[in-house]
Amino acid sequence: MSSLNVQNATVQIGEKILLDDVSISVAPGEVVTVLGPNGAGKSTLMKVISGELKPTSGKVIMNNKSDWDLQQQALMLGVLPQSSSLSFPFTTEEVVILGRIPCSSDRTENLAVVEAALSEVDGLHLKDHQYTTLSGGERQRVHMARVLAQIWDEPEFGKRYLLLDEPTSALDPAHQQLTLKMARKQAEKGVGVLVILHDLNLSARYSDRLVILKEGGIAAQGTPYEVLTAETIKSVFNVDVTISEHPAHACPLVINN
Amino acid sequence: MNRSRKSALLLIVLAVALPAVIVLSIGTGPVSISPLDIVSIFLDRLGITASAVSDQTRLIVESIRLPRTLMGVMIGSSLAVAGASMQGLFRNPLADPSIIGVSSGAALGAGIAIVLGGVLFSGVSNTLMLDYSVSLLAFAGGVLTTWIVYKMGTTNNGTSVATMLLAGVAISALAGAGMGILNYVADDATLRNLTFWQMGSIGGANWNSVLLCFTLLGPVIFMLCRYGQVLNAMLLGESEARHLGIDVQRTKLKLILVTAMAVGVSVSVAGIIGFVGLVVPHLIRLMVGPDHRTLLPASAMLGGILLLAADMIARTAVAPAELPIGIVTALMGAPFFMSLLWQQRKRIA
Repeated sequence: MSSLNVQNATVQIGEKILLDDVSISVAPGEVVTVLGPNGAGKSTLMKVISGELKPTSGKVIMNNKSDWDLQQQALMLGVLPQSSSLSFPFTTEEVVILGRIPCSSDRTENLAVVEAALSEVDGLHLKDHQYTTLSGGERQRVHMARVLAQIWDEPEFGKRYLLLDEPTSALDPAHQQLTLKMARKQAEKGVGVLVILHDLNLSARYSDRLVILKEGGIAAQGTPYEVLTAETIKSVFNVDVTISEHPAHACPLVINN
Repeated sequence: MNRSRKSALLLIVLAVALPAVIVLSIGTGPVSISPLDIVSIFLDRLGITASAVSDQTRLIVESIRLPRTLMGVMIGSSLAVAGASMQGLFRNPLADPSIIGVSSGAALGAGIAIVLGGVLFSGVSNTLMLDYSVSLLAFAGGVLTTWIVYKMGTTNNGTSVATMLLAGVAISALAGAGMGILNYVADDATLRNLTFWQMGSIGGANWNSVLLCFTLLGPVIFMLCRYGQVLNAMLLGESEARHLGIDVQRTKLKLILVTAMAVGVSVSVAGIIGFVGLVVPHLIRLMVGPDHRTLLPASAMLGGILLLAADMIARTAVAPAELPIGIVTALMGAPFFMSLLWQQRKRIA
């Protein structure tokens, strides 16, 4: 069965253990959210999955294989980083079409995908704007569109996965909802989504499963109901909360005391 | 007009302008030669007899102006395309071989070969082989300095302009000291050679140096022009480029080697000709945006054109004497660089 599997990944740099024997899996069609305080190893986990960082021990298996060719991997795995350093005056369209680099489609098709991807993130009106003049949140959405364009079509050799590292950090509440709805929509199309979030309620509402990291190890994982308990949140985040039922959706609601 | 239309148009205009400027450059000098005569000489070489041209004119064209012009085109192209590639690699529009110290490093390598060449390559008597050995050491100096500046200036968030420029200052100072020592130990004849060459000039062009340029710089320009899409991805950041399926480590290594080759060979035959690599890509970006698929070939052509223009000024401004071309490009390029720094001063601080 196709899935994205992290098996017993440990990352040690010098004396410091950044990731301690972490195993998680993401199946096509589900949204898995990674939560955890700052420095818990969330971004390290992302880097291990994307292949940017080689784990000291353990491995990452995507669609039953761990040594994909970089270009094939790019067609199956889209990665949205926390922030980007792009400082050249590309237009939005030119930035998004960079996502099509690993794809072998022609320019007409690429432009069509770019338009579709931009409308997914409510960014079509930014198409001809210069990227360097956009606000932080707009830039984040443009990169989201770029990553969507990258894994737009399912390749014949495997299922697709999407890694989103704090995709809502620079967004207003409306666009936070929009982005996570978009992540759900991708999951419905058969993409496995792994997302790092800080907002417990957003994660409760949009995820199938949650993974909580603490000091490099897994503190809890399971459905939102299983994971978001007052005890777990107290022990991991050191905040006192009350867990209630969301009045409009079938998910827990975390209320700060 | 959208950017892709503009890009196509720009490439066509440059492709037409380059041969025109080449003919103009061959015709310019103490003896001016009409474009018709120049074309006749070319046709004659191809076995087509057009109008008669005097032997003297033919001699001027074939042994002085033509090699000088061809060398100028190759050097201008390589410096411009190397500048554009470095800016992509450093993710920083202010990178230029002369500013970040790569030219100085290459110059030190070449200087060592020029002054100590007699000792180092004592078995080599062929002048062409000696020219190649000078280029080789210049290339080594260029690789070393590019690598040092890259290591010092680049983090995951791109390059810091400040660190990059400071690294350039430090390396230039070090290479300058090395050149000073070489000046000190050189004999009179070598010293004159060294001094004139350091200021940058394509006046010493001969068919040997043209051959050197075509065999070493030709492939380099061609190779760099094919890195358009890869450099576009690199502008996003190294990890982003990797996520797009690009082998970043290998690409970086190749780019550093190839750009150092472009700069090293240029420096070894023509000395330090600064700012071409900065000004040319900037002009292209202003016209058609930063897409490297257009930027690289357009820079290659405009670089050749601008260097020939600068050389025509160098040849005619103080005729019958001649200015070193490095002085002309510095006079034009340095104020341009300062204006860019002025625009970016908030970002640097």
